[in-house]
Amino acid sequence: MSEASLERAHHEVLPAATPAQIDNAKFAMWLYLASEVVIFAILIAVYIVFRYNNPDVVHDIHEEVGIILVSINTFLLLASSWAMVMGLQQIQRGNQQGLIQWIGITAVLGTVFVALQYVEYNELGHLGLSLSTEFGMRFYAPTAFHGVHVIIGVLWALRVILRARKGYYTAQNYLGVEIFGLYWHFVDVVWILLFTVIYLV
Amino acid sequence: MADEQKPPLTDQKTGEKVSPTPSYPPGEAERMPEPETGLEEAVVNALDASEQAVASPVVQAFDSAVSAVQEAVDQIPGPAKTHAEASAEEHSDTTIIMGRAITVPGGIYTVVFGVLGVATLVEIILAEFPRGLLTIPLMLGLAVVKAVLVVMYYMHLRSDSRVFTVVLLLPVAVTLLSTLYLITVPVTGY
Amino acid sequence: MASITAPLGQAQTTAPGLKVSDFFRWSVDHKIIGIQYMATAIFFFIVGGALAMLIRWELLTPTLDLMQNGEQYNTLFSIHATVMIFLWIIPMFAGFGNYLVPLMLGAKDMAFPWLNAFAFWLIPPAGILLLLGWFVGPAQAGWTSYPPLSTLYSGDGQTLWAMALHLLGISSILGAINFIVTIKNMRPQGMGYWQMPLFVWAILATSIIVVLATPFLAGALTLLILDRVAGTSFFDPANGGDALLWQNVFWFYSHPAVYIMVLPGMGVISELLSVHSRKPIFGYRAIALSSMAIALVGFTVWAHHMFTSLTPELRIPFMVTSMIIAVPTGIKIFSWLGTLWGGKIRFTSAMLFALGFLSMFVIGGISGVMLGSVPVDIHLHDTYFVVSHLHFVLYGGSVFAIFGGIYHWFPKMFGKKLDERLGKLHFALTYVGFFFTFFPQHIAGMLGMPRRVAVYDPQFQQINVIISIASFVLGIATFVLLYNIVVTLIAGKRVGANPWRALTLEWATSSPPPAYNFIGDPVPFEDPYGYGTEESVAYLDALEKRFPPPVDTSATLTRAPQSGD
Repeated sequence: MSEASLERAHHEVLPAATPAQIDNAKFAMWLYLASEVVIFAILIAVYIVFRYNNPDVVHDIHEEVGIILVSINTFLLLASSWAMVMGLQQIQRGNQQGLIQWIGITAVLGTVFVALQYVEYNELGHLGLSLSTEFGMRFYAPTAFHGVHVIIGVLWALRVILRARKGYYTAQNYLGVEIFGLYWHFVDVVWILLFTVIYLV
Repeated sequence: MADEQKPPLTDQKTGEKVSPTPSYPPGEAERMPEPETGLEEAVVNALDASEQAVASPVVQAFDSAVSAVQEAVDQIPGPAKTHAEASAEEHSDTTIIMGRAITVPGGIYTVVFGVLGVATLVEIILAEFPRGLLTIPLMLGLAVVKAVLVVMYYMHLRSDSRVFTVVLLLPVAVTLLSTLYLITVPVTGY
Repeated sequence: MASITAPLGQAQTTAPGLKVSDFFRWSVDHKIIGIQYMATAIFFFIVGGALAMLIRWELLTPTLDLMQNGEQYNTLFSIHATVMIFLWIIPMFAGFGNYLVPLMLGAKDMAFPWLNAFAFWLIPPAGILLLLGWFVGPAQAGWTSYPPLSTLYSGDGQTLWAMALHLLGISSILGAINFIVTIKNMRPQGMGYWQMPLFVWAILATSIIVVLATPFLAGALTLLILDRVAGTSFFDPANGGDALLWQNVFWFYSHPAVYIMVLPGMGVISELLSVHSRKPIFGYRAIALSSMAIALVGFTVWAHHMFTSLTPELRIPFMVTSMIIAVPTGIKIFSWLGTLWGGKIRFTSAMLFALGFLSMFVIGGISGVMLGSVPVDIHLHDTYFVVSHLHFVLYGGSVFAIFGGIYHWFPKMFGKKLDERLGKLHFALTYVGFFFTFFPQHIAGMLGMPRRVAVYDPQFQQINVIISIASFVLGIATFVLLYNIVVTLIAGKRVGANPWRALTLEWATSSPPPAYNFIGDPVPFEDPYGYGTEESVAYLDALEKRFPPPVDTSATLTRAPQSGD
């Protein structure tokens, strides 16, 4: 009845000792990711249907564009995901400085990813792949939507860093980092699938 | 329900008698009147029969199956490793792969990162070389393996509550079905 | 276990002292948010109802009279449907859920109070956005917004329409996440899933659908907005798009959405029938599980909305799944009838609306099965039969449940009981007006009157005049409810915490509940529907002792009306 009993719900606390009791915020994040799965799936499905019905068109575009830039981008995002879990591991060991450094790397890699995607879009624009072409619209919609998610993720990473600098996270209280990690890894998983489905296949 | 106890008809603190509100006569406890017409009797019989059917082995089996599912979702963490084991592994720089202890900074996380990188390289090589019958299934398979690795290890699904697995698999199932439908159904109908 | 144990503490009968202005502010109290949801929804109900009256006015004659052209009429029914579905029924049930779920679980609040408030405050801007569309070239493509109607023929209002729906979708998803986490994690000691009230089960099933289905709408709307403003052509076959894509993705969402709109109503009905017939609910598990079955099967039936645009060999599978979904619905209906049988039925206004739901929803369900069978659907597609069916399900179903719920839970929300005579008048007018508005539409549809037209064959005029006059009665009936609410708020009689003598936990606290709902942790009665046993009578008596009804009701009549509690 005091303020505290209400507050417990949205302040981060450690999950209870029994694994059956799952944490509110983490559960909510997973549910949110579940709905994100559906939105991304529609955008990707629209592309897949096109790819399935027009393999030649897609093949020609792949030949023309090449995959060097996007491969670099993929490695960047994979590395950012790795940096993310390394940061989580650091704070679980109680190393706040390590957390800040690793999440910082995550944010930098995410930023470079978005920048390279911008470069890539420019190149594609020069090749005449605009939003109004058959391939273009189906390509830009999922990748740009993913890019927006990366930008949001970078901003969130900066917030985590700010809070970490204030000493908010400790070896016992790292749920905020973990939940950001869930989001970031989800964005990474989406890219893993997008990369293969859109750029390679 | 071990702690079940009879409710007090008198208030526990003051010891006063509690009486029902005037608008609700005390006959409330009576459940069902005796049937009078044939129709009423038939309905009562039908209701009785369906209530008895609850005790039948089929319904009981169904009931316990539902309870089992519910408990599985609710109680059992049920990961491949227990939470403690997994977090011990995630905390340490040493991880054991195929019987050999490997020590790198980051432990299991770094090993997974290595696997992800190699898998991506293999995918790119597959894409650049002349395509065979198996190229596309292989690439898709590798992508799925990578995604599963990230979800299991980086998102801790292997040690977290099973509820999260269900939360993730439901939309995946729904969207896979709808995507398949969109692919197989002719684009313009007929 | 079966007693209210000590921690309930002191009886608290004083109102928490809320002012009217508190309901117009940002608040994280789920009770205030619930009432905010409901008030907003009722406002939009009046807006949508006014549009419906205009539609019926126009249809009094077979020619254009009220409208200058067919396009204005298109806008009218498009906005009417969108407002009623997305701004009335869905937020109204979200309001009920917000108010009742934490109370029924004996919790202090929802799991994420801030998120809860945020989800609500997305709704007013969305509503304003939708209505603003009227001034920039309104949406005219119906609530289904099939391309090319929605891409090539509508004005900028269609873009605003899509953005408004986007906001409402986000609001729904956030609300649903909140509900699921609350129900999973915040049940009190001694309340397993099988001791939850059926309304909570219904909200759980609904929330699962919302989380899984609403993103489909979000995806489709994103593509629609891109088509309208960014020059893509996802839905334009002339430029390599696919017009059917919208229909598929839209109905991936919108058929499950039908259950988003009706499952909470079914939950409300389960509560009402049991409480007001003083009998345990018949087939508790069957009702709870059939909600889940409806939720899951609901994902496999979407293409029955598209029989006329579907390849013939695919019609049969979707016909079969559509028929299957009638099974869990039937289980519910018969369980409710079993509940009523032999009960001590009290014909309160709430109960009357619950019985009205039963009768009207069955008609809607049967016409649904008719439409689900391919040969009938090919004949009846896009006729008034469809209009009739959906109104029987959404008005005769959801809205009747909402009205019943208002009468039932109003004493909990404001500590005052709505006037029963006015309530019965409201019911009589609504029931008769509703039936004669929508039942004749079946006939008009079977005779071949198409929906969504302002100009129709003169042979249908007689039947349309009957429908229009009945609909005006239906419209007036709503004002009886509004008058009742206003009068009761100002000068209504105060009642005790549990005027219906119900066993669910929301009644185990004062009315209206204090901030944080309960003093101490309430202990739920072992069976939320265990009416008619000695234990339940004793429990209710003890409850009444703890929260006694006001002694002198005449004193409250002179209370200053400025308190809007």
